[in-house]
Amino acid sequence: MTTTETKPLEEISRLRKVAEPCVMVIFGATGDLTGRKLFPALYNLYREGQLPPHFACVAFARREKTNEQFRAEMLDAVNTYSRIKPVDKELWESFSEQIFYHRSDFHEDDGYESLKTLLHDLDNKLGTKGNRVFYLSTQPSFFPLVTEKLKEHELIYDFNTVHDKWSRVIIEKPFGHDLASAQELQNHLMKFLNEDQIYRIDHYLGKETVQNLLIFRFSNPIFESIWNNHFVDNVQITVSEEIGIGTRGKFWEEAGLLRDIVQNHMMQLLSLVAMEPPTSFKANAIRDEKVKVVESIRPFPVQHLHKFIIRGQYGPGFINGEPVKGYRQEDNVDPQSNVETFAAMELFIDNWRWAGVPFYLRAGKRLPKRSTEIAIVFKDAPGFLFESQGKKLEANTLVIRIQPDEGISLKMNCKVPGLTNPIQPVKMDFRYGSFFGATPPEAYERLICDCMVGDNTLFARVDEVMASWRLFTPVLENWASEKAKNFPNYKSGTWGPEEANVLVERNGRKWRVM
Amino acid sequence: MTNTAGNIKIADIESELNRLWESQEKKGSTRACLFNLIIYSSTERRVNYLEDMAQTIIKKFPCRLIFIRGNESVGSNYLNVSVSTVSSGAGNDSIACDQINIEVGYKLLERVPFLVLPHLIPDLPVYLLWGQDPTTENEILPHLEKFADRLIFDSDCAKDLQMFSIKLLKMIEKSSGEILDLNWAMLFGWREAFSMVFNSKESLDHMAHAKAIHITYNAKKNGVVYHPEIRAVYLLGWIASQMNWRFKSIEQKGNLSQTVFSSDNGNIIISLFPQEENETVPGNILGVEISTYTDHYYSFTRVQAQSKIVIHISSAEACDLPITIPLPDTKRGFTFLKELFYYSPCDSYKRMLTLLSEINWQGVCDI
Repeated sequence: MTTTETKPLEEISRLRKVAEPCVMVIFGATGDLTGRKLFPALYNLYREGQLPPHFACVAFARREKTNEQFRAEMLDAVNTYSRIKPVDKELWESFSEQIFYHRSDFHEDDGYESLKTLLHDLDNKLGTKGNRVFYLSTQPSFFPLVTEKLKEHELIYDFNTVHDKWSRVIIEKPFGHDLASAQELQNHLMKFLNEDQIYRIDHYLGKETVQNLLIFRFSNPIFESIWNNHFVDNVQITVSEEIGIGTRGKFWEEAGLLRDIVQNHMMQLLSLVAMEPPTSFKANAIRDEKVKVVESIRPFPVQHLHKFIIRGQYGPGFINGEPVKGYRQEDNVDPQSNVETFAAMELFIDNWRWAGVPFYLRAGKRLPKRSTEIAIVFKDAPGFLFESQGKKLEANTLVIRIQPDEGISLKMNCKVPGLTNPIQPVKMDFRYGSFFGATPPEAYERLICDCMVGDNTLFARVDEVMASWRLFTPVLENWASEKAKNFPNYKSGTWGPEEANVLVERNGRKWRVM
Repeated sequence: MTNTAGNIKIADIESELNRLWESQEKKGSTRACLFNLIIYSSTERRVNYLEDMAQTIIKKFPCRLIFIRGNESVGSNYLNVSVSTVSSGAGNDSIACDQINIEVGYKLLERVPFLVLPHLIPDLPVYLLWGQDPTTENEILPHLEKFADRLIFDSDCAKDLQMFSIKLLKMIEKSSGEILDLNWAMLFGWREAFSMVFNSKESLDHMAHAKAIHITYNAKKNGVVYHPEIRAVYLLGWIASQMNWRFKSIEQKGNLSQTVFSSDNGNIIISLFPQEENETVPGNILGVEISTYTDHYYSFTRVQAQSKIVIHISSAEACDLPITIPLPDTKRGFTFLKELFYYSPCDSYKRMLTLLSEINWQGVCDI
């Protein structure tokens, strides 16, 4: 059955499509992501009745393991990482019967053949109807090989000719490491897949608060009507993490922060904040508007790069009162490393709505706290009424907190009670946790579910990805060729290098204190 | 009412506060916060004083209070954190706020800014109440001051008033936040009284012809206040700088200090006279007498029991009926706290500091 078929018993008012029977195959299933995110998500979907009743999950990996061993490992992982703990024993027992382990190397043809047999058996036993989700949770270098093998062994169906069953591929980031490699990967995938079969995952898009951005903007005319350069002074997007790179030294030495966080997650946030209203809430209508935003960003002038984008690397410092190492002292990191763990930039979107409004983005490791948020800073009130205050009034600021403590707050000025008129900023605060009580679903729950129902709204389309690489590749090339002279340039536990402040303060603005 | 979780892991600060709140909410308390208030004190004698002040502040303005007790003994080596929820408002628990207490030894002082930054509540003002002389080497202040909307110093901790004034002037030039100090805020009532009395062309003309000003203050030291003379010096500095008088000399005669200024109308001698009183708080101004070259006489007398100033104005020809002006209560009143947190420090504060920075106060303000 395809997703376009009429389903008379599906209740429109629930506005939630029901996932169709399918098997999900996870490649690289012994990696961290599977235990930390994918299985907790699958278990919670199962618990809440969001998985199709006819469902199986096959873990495809190189290590030797039995079904039982793998199931036991996943039970531990779910007990540790699930948002709802402890795991319900009975539920887990019935769920785990649908989990299978398949050992194979990614390049072994036999492994794909035996996978095909296994999947066929599962279709027969569990009624999964030949539908497949292939989750590529492998190193990016394996993406081309795995997709090629899947096609070769007829595990991926032709999108245009096969209509009674479907196959979809979820690809983890990073999608390429620059524009050329992303283009090369895309060309390769296009040999075997249709764009509609590719689900480029960016877990930020699965977060409740990110999804709420569209609802918040387009269902509240009071905000949408002032969401433009007439009223907005600047927009600040911050993704800060207090953790360092941990054991991922090797990965970081190759990637760096711009690739790991900015090029994907932050660009997604930026495009949702800045996009025009879509013509509908269908995937392509939304993605069409998002891509226009990224394509409208003024390219960085390579000759004056440092005036618009700055990089940083953390040195030793303190987190939670304890001393922590600098980046160059981390395991598997070059002691003279040139890799950035912090970036801050000023962007301009050259379109009608945002002309002249700077977008300040900053992201970093080993900053004082973990926090992701978008702050819309509005223009000042005309000052003449309040000159007697002797100081500039605080700007109204609308803050959308993506994580943690998800919510929305609005800062406004208020008279302090009394006979005179001193003014103080106060804030109205909406907290998801306090208001709705229940813990919101994890991003991966929503995204896996969406893939199963064939809704790719919350996945990145190729033109978005390419537009983002087009913007940042010149920066990456410049940074690779010109070593940073002052690294490390910020202490762990601080808000980044001084240059980040200069970037904002030169125009009389400042970063929001978080 | 206070609900406390003592000595906790630093990483657990927010989760412990949330845990305390869950129990508070069951009792119907609302978590409130108007601003972030960071208080630092490194001298034992001022800790209790600032703690009392913090509680007074919380009663009127619920805020996130981060109280840092530094220990400047070189060998001390500890870092303890506790959290509590504290009731605000008068006598009920319906509104309460967060308090984070940090006790830190000298060797770990450098960690404190890193510890404080993650716990500031965004979008609300950050006020620093700093119980340490800013002219001394400081591990914490330089890291935190750039986040502060207002930096309030405790000038009772100043080791040298001249150097203190110079330092504050430099900070005012540099800082994006506002700077003032506790003693200046406490002088608010007296400044108000002066501006009310000297508000006509005639009375200002009398002041311009001042010959001698005699300021009496409560010089009793009580283990908390070491520099009871500072408010008197501030009053002197404020009057002189507002009147554009030029400093000539300073002399100590016994326990009386005399500062001589000049104006177009002649010299003005301002005397600071210490007097020990048990009825009033150390450092309070007890009275001011002004005599002029035009034979006018102004007497301002504090009536402590009623917290007011009684003013007598006379001349060779006439004697006015006394005027009474209430003094704001620094312990319970809104006015003092509003002065501390909300009113912008006016230019007159800067002008006063400029004048004080020209004068060597050794002998008047003993260390």
